[in-house]
Amino acid sequence: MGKQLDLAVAILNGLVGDHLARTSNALATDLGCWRDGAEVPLTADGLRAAYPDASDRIAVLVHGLMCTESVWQMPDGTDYGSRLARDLGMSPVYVRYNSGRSIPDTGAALAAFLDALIAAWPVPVRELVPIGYSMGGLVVRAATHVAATGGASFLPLVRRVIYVGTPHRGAPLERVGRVVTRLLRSIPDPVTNLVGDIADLRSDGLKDLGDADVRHEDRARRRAAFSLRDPEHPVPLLRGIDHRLIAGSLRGDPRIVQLFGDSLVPVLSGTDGGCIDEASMKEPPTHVAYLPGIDHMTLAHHPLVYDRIRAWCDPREEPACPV
Amino acid sequence: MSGLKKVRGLVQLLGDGVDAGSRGIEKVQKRLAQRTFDVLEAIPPVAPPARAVHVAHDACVGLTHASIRTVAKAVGIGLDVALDVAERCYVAPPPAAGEPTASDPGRPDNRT
Repeated sequence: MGKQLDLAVAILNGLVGDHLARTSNALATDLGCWRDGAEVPLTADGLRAAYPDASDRIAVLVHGLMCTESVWQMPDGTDYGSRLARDLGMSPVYVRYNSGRSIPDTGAALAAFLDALIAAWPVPVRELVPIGYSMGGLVVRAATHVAATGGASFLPLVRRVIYVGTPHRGAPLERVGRVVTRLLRSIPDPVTNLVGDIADLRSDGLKDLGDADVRHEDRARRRAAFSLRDPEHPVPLLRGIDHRLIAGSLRGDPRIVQLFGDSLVPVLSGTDGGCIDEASMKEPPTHVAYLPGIDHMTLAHHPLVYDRIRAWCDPREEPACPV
Repeated sequence: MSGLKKVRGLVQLLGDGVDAGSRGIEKVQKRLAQRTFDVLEAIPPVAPPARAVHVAHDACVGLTHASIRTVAKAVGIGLDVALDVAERCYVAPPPAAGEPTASDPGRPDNRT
């Protein structure tokens, strides 16, 4: 029951979380670390109690839109974090946040959280490996951008970041939503306008997914009214970090697969342009894993995805070509 | 987050929903009526009474929706007070000196 209620609150946060945060509503989720259904206090004592065998390598798992950390759970009860702890001795930190807030705001909160986590962690931290699923990947990008511009100090501990089903070049479904909303609002009929106004109530976080906005200035820029094309993102993946990308897709004709990707994120967006045609989908670049037949929701808890994550988290593994 | 906090948040969100919904519907009702009144007010013989009815109509719609919002707000405040009371009753008073504490396994912990 608790898990379902948490999920209901997470869905509500994803839908109208920006409004909840603005109105100081008790349903708004504050960004924090959760484990076994309870929030872990970000204090030395709290972390020591939650992580008695704290490792100097931390995997930070950041969920996606309208999710909680339960999205990582596999049918056998394990998840990427617990498997990394078992196989590589890493400590998994599960982040929960209000996915309806704008991605830049959540990124800034995550940056502050990571600084505080490192300061209070029971042992000196050697490496942080952020693993972002879907929107979580963009939140990680926003956090690293904040750190790169001097807003946080955790960046030297991040050597690699793993993105799972992250829409680096935006999500077309949200852009369709934007187009439909604008159409409804442009028709001179009060009822149609009202429907458009209601559709436009969707959260800032959801709207940011359309063009993968990770900075406030990106959110403010003027956009083509009815463009449905993948935009070239103005913020490249941060230099100096080894970025690894995992994208899934439905099965079928390569052109259809390229367009619909994993059902929510096109392959081009999920691989940040790494897979642009049939040939590159068969042999993606070394920093990209393209897994056909795995849809968006399943990417968060699939053994094949974990195999890639584990290989990329192995400290003996050399960095791939830097992006 | 405790259950009562969630209920409080839900009540606040429902109140916000009623307020925003009422304002949206009020706007639609007035704009729909405007179409008819625009036609009537363009016909010289019926224009003066049409204008008067238009003003009366808009005032009635405005008053109705203001009432809905006020009642919703009052219900929200009432529920908030009830939740305050429930919260105070639900949280046990601190143990007096000599009494076993909440961490004592012999005593049930009734905190949220």
